[in-house]
Amino acid sequence: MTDVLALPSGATPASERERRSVATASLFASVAMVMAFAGFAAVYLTLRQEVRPFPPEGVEFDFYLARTLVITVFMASLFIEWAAYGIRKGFQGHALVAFAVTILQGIAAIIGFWFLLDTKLGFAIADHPYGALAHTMVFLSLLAVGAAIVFIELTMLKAIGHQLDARNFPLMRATATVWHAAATSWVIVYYVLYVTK
Amino acid sequence: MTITETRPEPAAAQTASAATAPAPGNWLTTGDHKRLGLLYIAGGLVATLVGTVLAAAYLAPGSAELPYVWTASGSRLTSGAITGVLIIGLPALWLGAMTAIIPLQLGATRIALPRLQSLSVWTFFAGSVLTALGYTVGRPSGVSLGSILPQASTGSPTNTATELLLAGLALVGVATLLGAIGVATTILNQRADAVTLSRMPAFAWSGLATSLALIISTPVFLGGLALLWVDLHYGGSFFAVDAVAGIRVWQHHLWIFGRPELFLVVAPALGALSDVVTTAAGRPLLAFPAVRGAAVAAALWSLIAWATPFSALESPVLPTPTVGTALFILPVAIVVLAWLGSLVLGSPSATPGSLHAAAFLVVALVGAAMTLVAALVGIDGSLAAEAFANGQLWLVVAAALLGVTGALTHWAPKLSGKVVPFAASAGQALVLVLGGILVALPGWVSGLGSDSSPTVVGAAGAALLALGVALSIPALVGRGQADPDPTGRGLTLEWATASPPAMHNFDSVPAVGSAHPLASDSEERA
Repeated sequence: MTDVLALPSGATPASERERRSVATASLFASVAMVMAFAGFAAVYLTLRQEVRPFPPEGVEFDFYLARTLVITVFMASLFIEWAAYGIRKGFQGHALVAFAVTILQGIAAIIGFWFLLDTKLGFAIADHPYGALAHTMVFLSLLAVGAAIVFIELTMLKAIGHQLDARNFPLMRATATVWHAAATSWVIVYYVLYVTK
Repeated sequence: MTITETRPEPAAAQTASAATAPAPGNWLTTGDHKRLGLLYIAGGLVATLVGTVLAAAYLAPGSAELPYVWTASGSRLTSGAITGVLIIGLPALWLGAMTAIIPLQLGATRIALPRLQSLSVWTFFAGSVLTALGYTVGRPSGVSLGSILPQASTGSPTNTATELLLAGLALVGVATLLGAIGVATTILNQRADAVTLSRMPAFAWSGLATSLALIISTPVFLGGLALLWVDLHYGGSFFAVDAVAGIRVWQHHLWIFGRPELFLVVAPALGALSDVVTTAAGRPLLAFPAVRGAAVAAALWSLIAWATPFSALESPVLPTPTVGTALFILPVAIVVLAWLGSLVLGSPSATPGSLHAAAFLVVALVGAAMTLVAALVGIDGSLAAEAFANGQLWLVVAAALLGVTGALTHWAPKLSGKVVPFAASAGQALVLVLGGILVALPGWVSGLGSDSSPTVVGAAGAALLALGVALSIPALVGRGQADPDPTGRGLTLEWATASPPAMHNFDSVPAVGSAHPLASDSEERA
C-alpha cells in the first residue's frame, strides 16, 4: 500500500492554470474554426460530380490573387512563429518586429480577400448554384483572418507592456495557434475552389 | 495503491464553509460554476418542456386548428419539438450538469474560464428567445430543421420569422460551442493535482468526450446556417429545389451535425448513470476502465455514425436503422453489463436516481426489440421508414431525459442542497419511461404498416414526458441544506463537499489515489 498525498487544487499556481487554460481553449477554438471549413470542403468534394460546370461558363478564375493570398498567410505563419521564438528567448525587439509584420500581412490578406470577393471571383452569388458556397467560404476566411489579427494585436500590446515573456508563453502559443488555424482555413478554401474546381 | 483504512470524512469542515457562504449575489455576473450550471439547467428545462408540450399539441386530435401550425404532418415530429428538445433543451441540460458537477468531481475550486462560460450561458438564453420568437411571429419561409429540404430558396423571400430563427439557432450553436470548450478546458486544466485523467469518474470522462465531439460537430452546423443566410440575402440558388447538389449539401451539413447531436444527448447519460449506479451499488464500478472506454466510445462513435447511408427519406436527424447506427448499442451494452455486475457484487441500495438507470435500461431494451421487430416484419416504403424512425427518435429522447433527470436527482444535494426522496425519484422515472414508450407508439405502428396511427396515445406520452421533466423542478428551486453525503455511499470527490458546496468548493481535497477516492480499503479492493 502506498500513501498518496492530498494535494489541493491550488497546488499548481492559479496563474499557471489560467495561462494553460487560455492556450487550451484557443486550441479548441482553432479546431472548431478549421472544422467549419473542413465541413464546407467535404460537402463540396463529395458532391462536385453533380454540380453544373464550376466555375460558371465564361468565368476564368484569377489564380494570381488566390495564390498570393496563400503565400501571404503562409508567410505570416512564419512570422508569428518568429514572434513566438522571440518571446520564448526574451528577444523583445525581434518579437515586436515579427508581430508588426504579421499584422501587416494579415491586413494585406484582408484587403486581398475583399478584392477577391468584390471583383476577382468573377461571378455573383446568384449566377451559380454554388455561388453562395464560394462567396461564403471566402467571406468566412476574411472573418477568420480578421479575428486572428485582433487576437495578435492584443497579444502584441501585452508584449509592448512587458507583460509577455517566457513565463506566460502559453498565451503566445495560443495566439500563434489561432493564426495558423485562420491560415489553414484559407488553404482549405483555395484547395476546394481553385485546385479541385 | 490505496489510500485510507476507513472511509474518510472530509466534509465536516465543508459544512461550516457552507454555513458561512456569502449571500446570494448577482446571478447576471456570476462566475460560480454551480450557478452557471443551474442557469443552463433552468433554460434547458424550459426548452424541453416547451418542446414536449409542442409535440403533445401536434399529436393531439385537431392540432391543425391550433394557431401557428405550419409544420404538422401526421405522426411526424414537428420542427418546434425537435428544436426545443434536441437542439436547445437536452444539450443545455447536459452542459449545465457538466458545468455544475464535473469541477466538484475533479477536486477543482473553480472552472477554467468562468467569463467564457458565463458568455455561453447568456448567449444561449438570447438564442433561445430569438428562436422561440422565430416560431411564434409567423411562418418562416421554409426553414425547417426536421424537414428533408431546407426549402429556403424555393422562391419565397426571407421574412422576420426566418431571420429570427436563423439568428436564434446561430446563437444557440455558438453558445453550445463555447460551453463545450469551457467544459473540456476545465477538465484538462483544473483537476486537483492528484486527480489524473485515469482517476476521473465516469461522468467526467463522458463529459470530456461529449465536449470534444461537440467542438468538432457544432461548427459544421454553424457553417450550414451561414450558407443559408447568404443564400437568402443575396439571391443565391444553392438550396433551390432543382439544385439537387444544394439539397444534398444541406443534408450533409445538417447530418454531420444532427447525427452526432442525436447520439450526444444520450452519450453523457452513460457516464452520469454509471456514477449513480456506483453509489447505489456501494462499491466501485466493475470493469471501470471498460466503462470509461465505452462512455468515450459512445461519444466518439457519434462522429462516425454520420457516415452511415441515408434512409428514412434522407432525413438529417432521424435514427435510421443502419449498421453504423446499430453499433451504438455496443458501448451501451458494455456499460449496462458493468452496472449489473456491480449491483450483484455490491450491496445495492435504493438511492435517488438509481431507478432512472433501471428505466434507461428498459428503454434501451425496448428500442433494441423494436429494431428487431422492424427487421423481421419489414418496413414497406420510405414514408413508413420515416414514421418508424420518428418512433425510435422519441425513444432516444426518453432515454436522454432519463439520463439527465437521473443525474439532476442524484446530484440535487450539490445543486440546491435538497435531497430527492426515493419515492419521488422512482415516480419520475416511471412517468418518463411510460411517456417515452407511448409517444413512440404512433411512429412504430405507422412504420409497421398499420393504417391507423394512435396519435392520441402519442400525445398522452408526450404530455407524460413533459410531466416527467417538470418533476425535476422542485428539487432544484430554492436552497436547502443537506448532509455532504446524504446516502453515505458516495465514492467520488463531489460527496466530500458540503451540500450545497461553498463558493470555493473545497477547503482541502481528500487523498486521491483512484477513481473512487472516498472508498475505504475494503470497498476499493472489492
